[in-house]
Order: sequence, then structure tokens, then C-alpha cells
Amino acid sequence: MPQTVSRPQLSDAGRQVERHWKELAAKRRLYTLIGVGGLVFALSASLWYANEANAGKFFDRLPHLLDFVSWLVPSDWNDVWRAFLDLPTPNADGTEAMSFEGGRVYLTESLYVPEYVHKMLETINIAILATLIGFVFGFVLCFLAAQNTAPSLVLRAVVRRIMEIFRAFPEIVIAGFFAAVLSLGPIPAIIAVAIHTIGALGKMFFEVAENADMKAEEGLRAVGAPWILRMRYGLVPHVLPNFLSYALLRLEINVRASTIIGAVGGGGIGEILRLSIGRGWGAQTIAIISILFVTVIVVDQVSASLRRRLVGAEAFSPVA
Amino acid sequence: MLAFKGVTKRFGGKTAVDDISLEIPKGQMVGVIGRSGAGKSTLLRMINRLAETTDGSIVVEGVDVTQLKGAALRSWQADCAMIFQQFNLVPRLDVLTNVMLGRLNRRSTAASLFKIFSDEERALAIAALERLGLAETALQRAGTLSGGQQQRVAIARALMQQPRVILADEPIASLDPRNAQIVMESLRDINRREGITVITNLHTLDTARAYCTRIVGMAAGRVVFDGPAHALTEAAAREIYGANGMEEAFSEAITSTSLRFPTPAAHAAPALATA
Amino acid sequence: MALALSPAEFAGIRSRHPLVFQRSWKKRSVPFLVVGGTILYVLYAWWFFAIGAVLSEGRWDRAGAYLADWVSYDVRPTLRFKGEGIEVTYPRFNVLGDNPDPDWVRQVDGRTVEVDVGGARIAATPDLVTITHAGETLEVDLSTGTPTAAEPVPGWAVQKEDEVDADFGFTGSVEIKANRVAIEHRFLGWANFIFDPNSPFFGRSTGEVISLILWGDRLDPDVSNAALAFDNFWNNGEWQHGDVYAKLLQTIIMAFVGTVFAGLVAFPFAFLAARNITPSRLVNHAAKRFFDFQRTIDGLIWALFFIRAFGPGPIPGIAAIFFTDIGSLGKLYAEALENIDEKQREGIRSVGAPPSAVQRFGVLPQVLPVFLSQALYYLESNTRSATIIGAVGAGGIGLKLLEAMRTNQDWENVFYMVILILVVVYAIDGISGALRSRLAGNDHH
Ligand SMILES: Nc1ncnc2c1ncn2[C@@H]1O[C@H](COP(=O)(O)OP(=O)(O)OP(=O)(O)O)[C@@H](O)[C@H]1O
Ligand SMILES: [Mg+2]
Repeated sequence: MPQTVSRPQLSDAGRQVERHWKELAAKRRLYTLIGVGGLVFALSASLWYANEANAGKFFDRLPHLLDFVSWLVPSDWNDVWRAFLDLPTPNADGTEAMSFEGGRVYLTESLYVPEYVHKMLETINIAILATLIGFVFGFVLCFLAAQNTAPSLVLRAVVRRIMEIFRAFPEIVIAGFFAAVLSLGPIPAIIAVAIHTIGALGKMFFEVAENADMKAEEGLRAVGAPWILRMRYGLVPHVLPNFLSYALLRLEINVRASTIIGAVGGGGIGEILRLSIGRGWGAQTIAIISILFVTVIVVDQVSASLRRRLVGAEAFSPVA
Repeated sequence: MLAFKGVTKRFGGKTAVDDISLEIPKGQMVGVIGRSGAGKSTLLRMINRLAETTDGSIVVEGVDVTQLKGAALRSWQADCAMIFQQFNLVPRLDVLTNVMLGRLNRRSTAASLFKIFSDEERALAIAALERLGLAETALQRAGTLSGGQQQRVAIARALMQQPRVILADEPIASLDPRNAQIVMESLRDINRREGITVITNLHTLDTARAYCTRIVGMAAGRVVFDGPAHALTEAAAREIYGANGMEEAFSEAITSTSLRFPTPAAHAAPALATA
Repeated sequence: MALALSPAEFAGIRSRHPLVFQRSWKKRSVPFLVVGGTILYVLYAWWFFAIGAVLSEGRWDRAGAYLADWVSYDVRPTLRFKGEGIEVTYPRFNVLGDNPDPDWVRQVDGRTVEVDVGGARIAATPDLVTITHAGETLEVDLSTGTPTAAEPVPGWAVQKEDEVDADFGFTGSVEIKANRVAIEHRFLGWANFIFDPNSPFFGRSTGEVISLILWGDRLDPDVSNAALAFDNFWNNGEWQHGDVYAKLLQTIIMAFVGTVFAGLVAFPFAFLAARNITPSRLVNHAAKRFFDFQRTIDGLIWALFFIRAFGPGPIPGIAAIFFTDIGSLGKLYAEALENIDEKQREGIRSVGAPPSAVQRFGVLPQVLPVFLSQALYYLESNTRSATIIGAVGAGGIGLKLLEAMRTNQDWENVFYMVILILVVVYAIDGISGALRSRLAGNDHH
């Protein structure tokens, strides 16, 4: 049977609806097209500019990408663990590259901590201390900043601005400024990461506080409890698990942040990684990357399991 | 004595409470009834300043409580305990602590901040819980209790406040009849024995009739009835609830409690007798 | 209600509820353990980083001066005594150009120079320097060969072994030695922000510059005044506007390209990783482990590798952001896919659509807004990451900041760049916030 699809007869109103729909669809398609076109253009222009601005050109350097990888492979794989444990290598040739013992940190006459372990510990401590400072200040400030708990509007506006600036202020400038005052080293890094953490955690915390159930707080207000006790009993028990969970997430981020700020002069594993890659030391680089890799995995796993215990599946809701 | 003088509350252009003047002598048990939106909650919340008045004053023993500030305000709030429909406990804390929180206004803030309570206070909290038949749950998390139990914890907390007035905003609206009865009886027991003034909002007529000595009926923010329970005639009820609101006033399950227990005083829960 | 309990009642309650009064040692000690543990950790960290020593050895006096440099500049004239004469000199590179002649320094006669530093006036002759400040006068006798302040010495001045120093707070200070008087005069603001002293427009008033640009004779016969002015501004030697904006653009590009590419690559992988889209456990698992792996390798490692491979510039920055964010975005995308509403997909499937159409119409409309909004979130935070990756060596504004900070001389330039970065971060924040809320709004359609 021949199939004919006849256009259904539409009433006037129906035709109008159909026309509108078509117009809308066309408009939407146009917007999508403009959006995608704009994106493609911006992307190509950016790529072209990035290539222009770069010291080495992408296509010139691309064939040599693997040269570098081969450069990294140590001549003797055993050197990797020797470098890791600061043990002397039979391949020593008198150069700094092949003398692993130099970085030992002696605890007693004969007991030492290998350099990379010590540096990794330094980076982790930077991250933990910065997270701790950020947590304490973020915790105190968030109740002043949340709309439903702020005791004063002026204070709330001020605290929010401070948090925004702390969050957006470039970390290297804070680190650089304190390095100028305190000399290079981990303490400027701690301050820089901590200040950013105060801003970042503070914001997350006050958002949690704003979503908190205020019934308990109202109950305590009716009891005549002062502000600080209303926060202590009306809000803290409710929000603390979430706060801790966010702080753990932040710790994961801060381990990475302290590594990278270390590379800019903040000490720790980042700094020696930069030196090691810069000098093309294969065995050391592999040793450093391995310890960094393992540490990040351990921190992430421990933090994830703690967060799961604190807030259950919620712990994995996406946070940027 | 608690005196409302021309108390008014407006939310934007809407008048929730409209020029109310009332006098409530010490020791009365007052039921405030009215349709949803009549302004009952607002009236109660203005007494202990969870809501601010727009106009008028509420005078308690010569002090206009609507003008209080800071520590004096909190001290007044401690003097008039509030019981909420949703209990408003701290669900993550244990029952005992929740009850002791009733004393927050009367003790050192620093000690409270670190959750340091004396054995004396513990004993008092237990005594209050025993009176409401809940001492066994003292170490349980408040959030794990049933609604009726939570409301009794809230009443125990109110007792810890040593209040002069207890305000209850629909204390039984989310409870089943059995629990509703226990809660209402507890309130009446406190009113009778300690002579604490109790002002309670109630949704339904019969509960009010059964437990309150005086009934205030509100409609559209105004007092349209004020008198003893037995004076609340059907005509008066019609004025409070409106012609088609009568069903709402009588149909609630809670109505049956007062029918089953025409003289509830005789059936006081055993736990109440021990205190 | 009587809130006092009789001893008998108290004892009764105690015996009925022993648990309430003898709380377990374990429960009681939890807060102490938490607080004690934290304190112990802080003490350990204090020792580990030698925080006490570092803080006490810090040159805190300089911190104030550095901070003042962010928003102010100083001019340092030196009055040198040459026999019976007196000569005013300025450091070689100073904000007033090669031949400074500020009106607050006046040569009264051959042997007297007067200098106004804010409200203070310094009158110097080869044998006597008189300073008037805050209603007090200090006379410093130079005739003996050692500067000697006459008693009583005001609080703002101090007599040292072979010099006398006076401090006027923010506005400046004076250091008097036997053969010279060094003056520091500080002004609020940024000096020479538009034109540096080498520009022919330097030192002219705004009106003069505008009229020169609009109808003045050419200062340089080869180019128009407008072009010259722009060139002088853009290549201002002290502020380097052109270079700063180019570097800023590079940083933005690192974040933008890195995020877009990461999103594009994460997109197909997320479909592989989602259990409800790709039915093979093996593939799901492989894709997810791939994301974890990418996330675990620190951005720094990628950055350093690509700096070695491609040299400094935006490419290593892009690569670092790209590789780490494939993992982060991929993980989020896969989670979004696993949380989709099955009903819509079944609806499409029920009309007999082929699998690709099922994904296109049953899945994509649900997740696309989520994907985009997550990518926008990352764009925001990546702008900050790109700054610091730049400082590691990838270039961009980060490296420029690091260079400006190295000398401790150019804090005003640092502040300028910080302001630009804050503006960019806030702008991206605002734009992405607006886009995200639009996306969230469109969710319902
Ligand atoms: N915070 C507020 N903002 C604006 N309007 C409000 C607010 N609180 C109450 N209202 C309005 O005031 C009026 C009285 O409200 P109220 O809660 O006092 O009524 P109610 O008698 O307690 O009702 P219900 O029995 O439903 O609890 C209502 O119309 C309500 O919409
Ligand atoms: Mg109400």
C-alpha cells in the first residue's frame, strides 16, 4: 500500500503556533551556531597565539618529545631506589647527578631520613598546617558571613569581601611578599596556601551554614542563649561533619598546591622536582615522581574514606 | 501579669496581628485558637521576641518587653520558654544535653561553650526528664526519638529554664492523639503545680476546651472571642473559624482525645505523678 | 518550680541513673584528644619549620616599606656639601626624569637649600641644618665634623654615632651626615603610569597631551602624535603595559584552552566510564582508573615536563591544565551521567530509536548543561592555577610577577598586576556565574 503522508490541515491558531515554533527553533539554532563558531574561533586564535608566544614551536618540538622521555630513563634502574634511599651508587662518576648521599637528613649519628622523604614530609606539613589554619579561620568567619547567622550586616559585608579577596589573590604574590620579609622557604608557602584556604573554605562553610536547618537555632534563641552559644549548639553540631568533609577535600587540593608553590621557591618536594627535571636527572626524577604519586594516592584515599564516614555518599558531590 | 496593649504586626503591607489588647493574669492556661493564618504564631512569637512588634507594647510586671535589648532581652527570653510545633531540639545532641541547654542563659558562656555542665545540672535535667517520663532516653540522641518524645524533651528543656511563662506554638500539631494527650497534660500539670502561665496556640477547638481555662479566638489578626472555655458557643466558634472553617476546627483526629477523656485530669500519665 | 534538689533527691537520681554521672572515660576524653592532638601537631610543625626562629629573624621593618611601595613612590634628593657650596643630586634612575627640578626643593642662595617634605621643612647650610616639623625645631650642627643635634631632641629625631636621623612617618625621612643630607620624600600613587621620563610627553599636563595628540605638530616627524603617545604608553619602560597585557593574555589562554580541551577529551571518556551508558564493566573500570591516574599526577609534573619539551610559554601551561583536568572533569562527567534520569532515555528508546539517537536525545540534553557548568567552574579556578604554573616557568603573568618581586624594588608593578589578575578572576567568575545560572534555568526546558 502506497504510503502518503498528507500535511494535516491546521487551524489559523495552529499555524501561528507552528510558525512561532519554527522561528524559535531557527533562532536557537542560530545562537548555538554563533556560540560554537565563537568558541572555535577563540580556540584557534588562542592556539595560534599560544604557539607564537611559546619559546619552542609546537610542531618543531613535537618530534623531540620522546627524546626527552628517553633522556629521563636512567641508565641503571637500580639507581631509582638508591636515589630514593640516598644510598651510594656504583655508577657514581663524581658528578652531583650521581651522588645521592648528599641530601640525607640525619636524626642521630647513623639514622637518617632520605632527602625525598623529608621533602615530601615538608610539603605534606605545609598542606596540613595551611589547611588547619584555613579551617580555624574559615570556621570562625563563616558564621559572621552567612546570611542567616551574621550578627551584623556591615561585618558580614566586610568578611565576605575579605574572603573573596583571599580567594582570588594570587598565591605567588603572598608567598613572594613573605619571602621578601622572612626569606625564602616553607613558611611563606604556608602563609600563601593558608590565606587562600581561608577564603575558599570560608565561602564553602558559609554556604553550608546558609543551607542549614535553623530550627535548633531558633529554639536556642527562644531560650535566651547568646549568639555564640546559638552558633555552638544550634549550628555547629549540624554543620561540623560537612565542614570537616570540605576541609579534607581542601587538604587534597592543598597537597597539590603546596607542591607547586614549593617549585616557585617554597621548598619541599616541588622544589627538588623542578631542579631534578631541569637538570635532566633521570633516576632522581623517577624517584621523586613515585613518592609524590604514592603520597597523593594515599592522601586522597584516606581523605575519601574519612569523608565517607563523616557524611556518607554526599562526600562525593562535585566541588570545584 | 502579661498585658498586650494595641499590639500590631505588619509584614510589608499585610497585617498579621491587628491592634490586640489583652490581659493575662499570672497562672492562667490560655488557649489561642483560630484558622490558619489568623496570626496566632505571630502573636506568640512577639511575646518572646522571635518576632518584633510593629506597634504597641507587651508589658510584663511593669516592663515593656518589646523594648528590651541585649542581655535584658535574653534574660526575658529565658523567662518565657517557647515550645514549637517542630520541637526545635538539636537532633545530633543527646537528650540530656538538650535539656540542659535550657539553662544557657543562666550560666557562664565560657563553660557552656566547652559543654561543661555540673552534676547538679545533670541531676536537675534528669529530674525534669523523669517528670516527663523520659529519663531512660537521657543518653540517646534527640533526633532518634519519636515526635511525642521530642516534644516532651522540649518541655523538659522549658522546665530547665525556670520560666515565668510557657509559650507553646501548636505543640501537638505534628503528634498522634496519644502523644498529643500526654503533651497537653504535661503542660496543664506544669501550669497547675508551678503556677506558670501557659499560653498555647491550638488548631482545634476541642483540645482548647478540654485543657484551657481561658480561650482567645483570633480571626484575621484580631481577637474575636475571649472568655472561659464553656462560654465558647457554636456561634462564637463560627465567628472564629468562619462558616466553612468549622469543619477544619472539628475534623482533626485530635478532637477525639477530648471525647474519649472527658475529664483528662483523672487520667494523668503515671510518670507525671512521680516528680 | 523549685530548681534546687534536696540531697536525698540528688542521691536518688544519682543511683537511678548512674550512667549519666559516670560517663565513660573514652567519651569524656574525645574533645581533649582532638584539641591536644591539634596542639601537639602545631608544636611539631613549629619545630619542623623552625617557625619561631624564622618569624623572629624576619625583617618586619621592611614589610611596612614594601607595602607602602605598593601604592606610593619616593623621590630621594641628596644635598651634598662641597666646600662652602651645596649641591642637589638625584639618583640616576628616578621618577622625575633626567633633570629633576621639583618645586619642593629650593636653592635659596649659594649655601642654602630649602626642602619641603610634606609638612616638614629642612633648611640646610654647610654648617647648620634646621628641621621644622610638627611644631618643633631641630638644629643639627655640622661645624664640628660630626652632626650633633641640639638639645632637646624632638621625638621624631634620633642622634646616632655619626649621623642624625629624622623620621616624618609616611611622607619621608632625613638622614644627616657630615658631608651630605639624604632626603626621602614619599608620594601616594603610582609614578609615571602613563609616560616614562624618556617619552616626549613626559611631564606635560593632561590638557597639553590631549591637545598635542589632537592638533599639535608632530613630535616625531615619522609618526602621528596619537601613535607616538600610544607607543610611549604601551612600551612605558617602568610599567611595561604592553608586556603585562600580553602575559596576562597568555595566562588566560592557558586556562581557557586547557579547560576546553580537557572538557572535549573528558566528554567521550566519561561515556565509556559511566556504568549505565557503556555496559562493559571492564571498560568502565579502565576509563575510571584513567581519570584517577590523570588526577593523581600533579599538574606541576606535567608543567615541568612540557617546559622542558616546548620551552617556556603558554603550551606547557595548557598541557598541565589539560592533563590534570581530563581526570577531574572526566570523573565529574561520569558521575553526572550515572545520575541521569532513566525515564527520559526509556522514552526515546521506546519509540524504537537507534542507540546513537537514544544518547543524543535521551542523555545529552540532561547532562550537557551540567557538563558546561562544571567546565566553567574549572575555568575559574584554572585562571588562578595558570598564574602559578606560569611562575614555575611556563611564562605568562605568573613569571612576570615572580620577576617583578625578585628585586624587591617593583612592588607597585606587582600590585598593578595583582589588580589586573583580580579583575580577570572576578570577570571570569561573573561571566561563568551568569552562564551557569542560565544553563541551570534552561535545564527545565
Ligand atoms: N515572616 C513572615 N513574612 C511575611 N508574612 C508572614 C511571615 N510570618 C507570617 N506571615 C503572615 O502573617 C499571617 C499570620 O501568620 P501566622 O503564622 O501568625 O498564622 P497562624 O495563625 O499561626 O497560622 P497557622 O495556624 O497556619 O500556623 C499569615 O498571613 C502569614 O502569611
Ligand atoms: Mg502558626
